[in-house]
Amino acid sequence: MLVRLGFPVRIIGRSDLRNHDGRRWQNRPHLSVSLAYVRDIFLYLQRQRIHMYRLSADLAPYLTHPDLPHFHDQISECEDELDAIGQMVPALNIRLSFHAPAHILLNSPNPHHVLRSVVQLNALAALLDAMHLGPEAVIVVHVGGIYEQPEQARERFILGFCRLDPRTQQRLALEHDDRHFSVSDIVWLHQRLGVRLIFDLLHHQINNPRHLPIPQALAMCLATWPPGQTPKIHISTPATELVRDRKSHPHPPRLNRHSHYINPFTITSFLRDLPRMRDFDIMLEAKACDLALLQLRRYLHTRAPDVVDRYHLV
Amino acid sequence: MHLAPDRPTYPQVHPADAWTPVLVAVINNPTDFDRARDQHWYRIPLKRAPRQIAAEYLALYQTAKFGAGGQRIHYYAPILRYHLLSRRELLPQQADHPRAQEQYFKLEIGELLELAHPITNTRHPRLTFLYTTLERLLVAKDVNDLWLRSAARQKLYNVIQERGLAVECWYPVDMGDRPEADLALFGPHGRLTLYIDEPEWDELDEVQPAYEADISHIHLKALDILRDPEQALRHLIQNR
Repeated sequence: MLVRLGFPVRIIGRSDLRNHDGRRWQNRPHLSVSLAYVRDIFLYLQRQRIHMYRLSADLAPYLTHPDLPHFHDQISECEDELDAIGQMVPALNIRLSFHAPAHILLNSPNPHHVLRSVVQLNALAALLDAMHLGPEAVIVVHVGGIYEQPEQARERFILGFCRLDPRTQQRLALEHDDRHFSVSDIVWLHQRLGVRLIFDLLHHQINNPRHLPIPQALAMCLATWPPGQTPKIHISTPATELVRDRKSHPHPPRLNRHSHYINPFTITSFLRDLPRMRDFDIMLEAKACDLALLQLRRYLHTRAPDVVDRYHLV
Repeated sequence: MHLAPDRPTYPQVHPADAWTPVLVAVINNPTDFDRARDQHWYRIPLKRAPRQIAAEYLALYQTAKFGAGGQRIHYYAPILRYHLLSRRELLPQQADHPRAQEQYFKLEIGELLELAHPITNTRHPRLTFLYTTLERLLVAKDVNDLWLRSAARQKLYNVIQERGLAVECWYPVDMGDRPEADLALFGPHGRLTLYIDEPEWDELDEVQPAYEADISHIHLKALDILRDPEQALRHLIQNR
């Protein structure tokens, strides 16, 4: 079994490496500048021997902004540069993905909101397509809100999904969340849409109304990926630090708040306890991003070599 | 949605943003300078591109070939776009050039902006690419003020200078992907070149054997220097 570890978006270990061109529209930000940042990030990943990375969903600034049409052609303007980035991906053995921002809601009761979400997801898919990436380069989305009617909200997701371009539908992977939609809900959606599923350990620990054991829930999600494709899962651990409000009153942290670093004992136990199953990659969702990955890898190599050997973690 | 007036805001954009990245690049002939000023582009050969090319601004270091106004940075400009082109596409009038097929980054830039005070270069005969921040660029007087690893380098540089030792920053040495040493110490027994490493955060990283084998080169950790530059220097001298 070969497991790649990845991290999302921000490069904390190198504060001089940005993940996208974040200039305001007046200063003419451009996808090509973001791609230059991505090229620099790839060289950093190569140096750190990291093989999975989540791109910023803001890679192409203002790409679908309805009031700024002069930003809408960035993908065609950057055809060669996107192709060049895409060529680096197999050369460096990097798996890329996007995670749709929280405001993207395919199941919103507001049709305008759904339309905006569809446009933005189509744009993200077009970026991955322009890099000529394989089917493992996915866009991760959540089902969305429940709007007081969970079953209708789940069904509205199907309608929203059907409005996406077929290419976008093929890029999508659906993740359960920590409040509304559990693994059982996304399995229900998979049975109707064929969409691939992302298992998230922390979400499942928080939101598991049917009391599915972790290995079973994981296996259900992994089984939704076609043969020949490596599924990926999300792992994070909850923050435990005391939180103070504006008046400096102490509060416990929310359970769904990610810790800065991954609790190594949690992931070690999780991986040790799993029965043999198909390969998967692990996206580490920790606030310290790349530093959390490097720290976890160092821990596993020194304290849990059996886990490293079993999963061939890279 | 309310949008601000449609006008560029480059000179005013986040002037105090400590992390607005700036790539300092070399201009060694007037033709290239004219291209940057009039046609608004600059080129970097892909083969010789530094590990970091992405930035929001490009600053132009004009070499000694510019005469009395050379060896300094007068101008910088916002980077608007990156293109990846062959030299033939970039310079069609030189289609027969031996490197016509080679790939180049073409950096499309905005209007050149003049620095309030030019940044001079008094120490480095072979300046190449340099990565810095807008904040440093706007206040720097000498190229030495621009180094991004300069917090560590500058501290060690000061400590060494206070001891009355001969030291230079950014000393050219042909070694792998780091063609220049951070510091070079000069003494009666020869030269000692020092490389200051960014915090690696990953001790599993393989140390490049070539660096370790050559006893005239020493690697120092930036964090160690920042914690205690005196101690870092003492350790360095004791181990030599």
